[in-house]
Amino acid sequence: MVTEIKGFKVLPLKIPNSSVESYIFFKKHEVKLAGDSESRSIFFCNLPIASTTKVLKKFFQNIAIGATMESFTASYLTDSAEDVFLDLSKLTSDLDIPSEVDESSAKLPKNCGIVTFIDKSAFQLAMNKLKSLSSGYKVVEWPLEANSFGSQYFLGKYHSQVLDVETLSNSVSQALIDFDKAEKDSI
Amino acid sequence: ISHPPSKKQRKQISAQEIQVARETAELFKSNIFKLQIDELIKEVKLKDANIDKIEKVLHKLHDLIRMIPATENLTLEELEARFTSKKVVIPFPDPKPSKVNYKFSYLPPEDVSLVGSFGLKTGVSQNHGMSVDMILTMPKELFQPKDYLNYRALYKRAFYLAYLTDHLIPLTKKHNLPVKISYQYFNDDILYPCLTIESIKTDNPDDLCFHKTKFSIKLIVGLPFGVFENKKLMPNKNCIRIQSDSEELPPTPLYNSSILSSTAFDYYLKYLYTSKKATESFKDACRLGKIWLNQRGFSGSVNKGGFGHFEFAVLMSALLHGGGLNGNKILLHGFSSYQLFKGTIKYLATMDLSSGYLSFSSLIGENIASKFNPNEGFNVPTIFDKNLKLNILWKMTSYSYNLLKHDAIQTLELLNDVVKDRFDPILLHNSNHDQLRYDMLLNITIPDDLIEQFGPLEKITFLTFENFIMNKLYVILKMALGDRATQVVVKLEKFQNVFAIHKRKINSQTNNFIIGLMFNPDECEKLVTKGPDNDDHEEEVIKFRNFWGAKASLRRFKNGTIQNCVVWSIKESEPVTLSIIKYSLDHHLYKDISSNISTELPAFNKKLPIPLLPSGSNQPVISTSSFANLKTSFESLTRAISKLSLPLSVKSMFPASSSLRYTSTLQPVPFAVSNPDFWNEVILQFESSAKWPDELFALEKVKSAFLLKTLDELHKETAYKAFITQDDTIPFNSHITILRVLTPEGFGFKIRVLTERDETMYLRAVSNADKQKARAQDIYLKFNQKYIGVVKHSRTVSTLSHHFPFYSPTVRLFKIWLDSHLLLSHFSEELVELIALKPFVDPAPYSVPHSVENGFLRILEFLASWNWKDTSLILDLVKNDVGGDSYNELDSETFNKLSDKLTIQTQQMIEDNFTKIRKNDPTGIKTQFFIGSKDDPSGILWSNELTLPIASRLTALARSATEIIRSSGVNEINLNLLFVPVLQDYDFIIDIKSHKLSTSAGVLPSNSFKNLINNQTFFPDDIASKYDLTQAYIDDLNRKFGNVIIFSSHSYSFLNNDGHNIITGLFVPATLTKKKFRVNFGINLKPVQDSKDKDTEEVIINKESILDQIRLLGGDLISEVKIKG
Repeated sequence: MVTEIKGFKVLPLKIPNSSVESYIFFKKHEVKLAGDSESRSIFFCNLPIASTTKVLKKFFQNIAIGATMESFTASYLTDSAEDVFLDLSKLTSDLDIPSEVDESSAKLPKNCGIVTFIDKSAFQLAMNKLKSLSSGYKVVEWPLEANSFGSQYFLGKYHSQVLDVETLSNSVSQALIDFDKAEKDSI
Repeated sequence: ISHPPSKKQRKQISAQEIQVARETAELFKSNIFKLQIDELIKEVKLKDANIDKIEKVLHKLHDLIRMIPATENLTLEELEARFTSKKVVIPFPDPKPSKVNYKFSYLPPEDVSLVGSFGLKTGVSQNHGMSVDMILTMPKELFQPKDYLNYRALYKRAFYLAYLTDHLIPLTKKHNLPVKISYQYFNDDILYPCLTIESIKTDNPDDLCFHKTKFSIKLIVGLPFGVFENKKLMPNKNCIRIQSDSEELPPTPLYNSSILSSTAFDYYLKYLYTSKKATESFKDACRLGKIWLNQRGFSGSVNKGGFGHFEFAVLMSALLHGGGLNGNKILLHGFSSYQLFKGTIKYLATMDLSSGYLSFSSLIGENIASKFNPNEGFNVPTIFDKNLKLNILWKMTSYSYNLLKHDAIQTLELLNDVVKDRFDPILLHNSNHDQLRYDMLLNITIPDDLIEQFGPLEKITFLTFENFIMNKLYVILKMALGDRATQVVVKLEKFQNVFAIHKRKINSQTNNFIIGLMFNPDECEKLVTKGPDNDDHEEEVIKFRNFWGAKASLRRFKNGTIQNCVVWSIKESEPVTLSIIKYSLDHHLYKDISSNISTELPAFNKKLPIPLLPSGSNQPVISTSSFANLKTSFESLTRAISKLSLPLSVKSMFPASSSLRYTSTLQPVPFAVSNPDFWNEVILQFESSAKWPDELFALEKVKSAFLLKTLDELHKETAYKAFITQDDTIPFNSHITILRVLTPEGFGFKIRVLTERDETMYLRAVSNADKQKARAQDIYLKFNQKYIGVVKHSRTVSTLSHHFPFYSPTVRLFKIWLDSHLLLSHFSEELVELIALKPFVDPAPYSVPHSVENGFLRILEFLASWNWKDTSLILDLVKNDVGGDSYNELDSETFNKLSDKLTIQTQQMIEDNFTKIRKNDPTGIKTQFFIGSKDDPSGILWSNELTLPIASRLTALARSATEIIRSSGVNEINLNLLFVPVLQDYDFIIDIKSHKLSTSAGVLPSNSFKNLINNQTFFPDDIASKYDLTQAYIDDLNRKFGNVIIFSSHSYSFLNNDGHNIITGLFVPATLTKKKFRVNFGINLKPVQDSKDKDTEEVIINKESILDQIRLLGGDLISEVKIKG
């Protein structure tokens, strides 16, 4: 049983309705941000489908209650047919426009994600638990809800494409304000 | 002082310039063509070794013939005793002679010579073998002046032949010439049996065997030249006197010509030889003519059109001595073989030898000009030899002549093409395939009863029952179909030509006849056959009523006229033309014979889904009324939006969907939201503005602002329902929004905005990207496809759909075929439409398809033979009717119109693009199909995302489809087989539950009754609830696992077995191997367990987990997942 591979720990999973083992690989996420010398994030690789903040939260609630999550950063490539992310805003303008593009999401490979905890102790709790599960080769349930997929899921996708007029309006106004400011600042 | 050229002068100058340019191009082309001709001639020339061998055989044969003893004055009874079916039977033509008082004799032939192409030394090597024609001329003493009457000469000749055979058999055995001797009808003429001698292979080294040469020898007995008065055998004379009630016996042209031509073998050889000597390139031009005719299935045999090498050579000779209206020479002795060939083809294409005729003289030495006499023809194809009084074209029928003329017209167009090299379709491509040549093929079985109609007068006119029937079929169908058919060709399913020497004749030929039709698309689908006005032309009215019987009626038309007419209706995919054929044959040939008629065309039409529209199943297959309704709705919306008060006015709204250009797989039906093509793409351009932001996402936001305003105004000022959705067409541009509008007529439009800054943005991204330049280029290409290319393409295809009425149903059937094989989703629609255009804009060597069957089979044939690795496809997508030689009368306006067509320069430029691409990618890994046109000179706009396995799969499928058709013909079973997908190759198959979305997609479900289905008449509140969710599932699968698995499925779930879709998966081989662990594989992995070495650091794809995740994702959509192995 392989529990570690190239610095990553291996954790076996059980996905709902699956009879085989799936795997995720994890390690401490090194961050070079000034002001935050100690990392409180875990880097995950080989995540199963539909790994959302909700799923990750439930996962940590199940295995290490108290390890409260602050955020989950998913890769832009996970649900994309592309294999590399291009920031078209940066490529089409030198202006310093506040971007909706999350740098980390842009750089993360497909099926990878970063979970950030509220503080170091939460992080430590989560990490230790994961490490012990990994070395003990304990197969963990991955908290996907089996009936959240299928026709309802796809119908939901179509519904979510329809944009609310007011929200869109606001987003448009904000974007134009940002752009105008960036243009003025550059002069 | 020099004035600027006046308008008239300017016009003249440009016409002259054009002429000079053309001639230069022509000369250049003719030189290239000449080089290709020389190559071809070299290849098909007969091998000297074979010629030597065959000449040895001929010499031997000649010697043996001289050994045959004479015999004189045998009576018929003596003959009957001597020639029995035990050995050799005399092949007397019908009616068998009985009670004749003249005697039969054999004297040595007064002449033995070689004629035909071998004799003229214009022979061409052919795969199916060649024959040498050897003529033995009977001595004059054997004949009486009146022997031309009532078959007497023919009976004497038949005896002569049998006597020869009887002696040759032992002689050849004795003298080491092992051969098989059979009777054969010379040129399929049943009055003219000859011998065909084939080599038998033996082990005896002393034997003279010639089977390796592929030659056979035809021993033909000819009548002596001038033995009968030629003018007694003219086509309008009767030479078979029989008992008859009618006063005047009908002329017997076939009989007369058969006899007359059999006196002239040597005579014509001398005539052609003289031409050959006087014209250096005559020989090569003859060879070209022979090849050209062969490739189209023509030869001198009665059943192959009656126009072969001999007729071509004689025509060429006649044209070297005149041929024009005033006897002016059409061909000159100094012409190259190309010019001789082209001149002859041009003559065939432009002169009507039926309404007029060409007369020439075969008398050598006298300089008598050949002359064309217009309007004085005999309504049969005629090239008349004034000296011999023979019509050289006596073996042709009206329809074989029409077909020859049609092929000549086609070839002339190809010869006049200065842009593309047309050598291949003119001379190298065999186009004698009925299924690809004709729009509709019918097979009709003639009942034995009909022979009662073949009375004594018919017998002497037509000679055979088959000829009689074919003529009758032709006359009836020509009258019945009128302008609907441009070609009506009748032939026997098969004609047995060779028979054993112990038989007198071939007893019965087949009862099956084949009718091939080419249609006029503007007429063939019309529901009304119009006749004469009732007021005038009383004779014509009677004729019309007699022909159409009970179906003739008198109606008043919208324009006020009252006309006799026949009104047809469409029942069950049976085209009107078929109904007409059935009715007219039932009425005029034989009652209920229509039950003996079979054709496959309706089966093809049936493959097109019937739209859920009133009278949806009664529309002709080329009906575009559903598309017209969509267009009207679109135009109303365009007008409404243009009237709205927006910050910028709307400059234009361009249609960009397949339904708006007549090519959508399903016909547009109101409120049919389950149709995957329900939402029609529209590109909206506002007037120019300098205020668009100079950054992509901000630009998209401003577009969204405009769409929001438009939405607001639509709701305030109109009754249109609309909403805005997010769009992810362009990768990484998540800010694109689309305005979706539902119209009261029941259609949906999705509008996206194009500004003049968009292209700049994407190009800027390409130049700014350094490591990811290739990816940025792909994005630019995608933008180009979806915003610019699609508009050009839609415009072009829309125009062409009007020009080619059968293109629309053909391309729709092609899409259905692709979808049945799970391939459609892998191609852009535009790519599919371009491929489908090929047989229409570039049909050579065939004609433009005017039936769904023909169009579809031609697309398959093209795909099967297209070597896309080495050959580009360059399409000229501009259609206008200026062609041929009217270039001389050009004015500048026409010239400008013409300049839209592909020029040599553009063609070359596009070809250079292909060469560059192929040089960088020789095995076609990146680019497979290169389809260039003026719209897209890059050739890769629509095929950019194609992959090698998919392209190869398409070619393989097309090949196996054409193979099935070529080997076992076209029939309903084969046709259905063509649409069955092959599923063994896939690693797994996901069975999707059936959702019964036919009706809400506007398609009449199969096996259902029209009147029990209710049309949709309103939009559901939640439109998405009617979508085919399988498509969203597949889209998600491609996003999540597309780098690991190639997914395929039907785009239209409900077109196969009760709406039951499947998704197939094929693991990409490169993903299946063990690898060293890396974070960025993007594949679901598992560690490799290695008992020996724990730290292998290797991982491998976790197939089972992937499949389980796929199952999970599909949830209740899936009924079963089947895994291979």
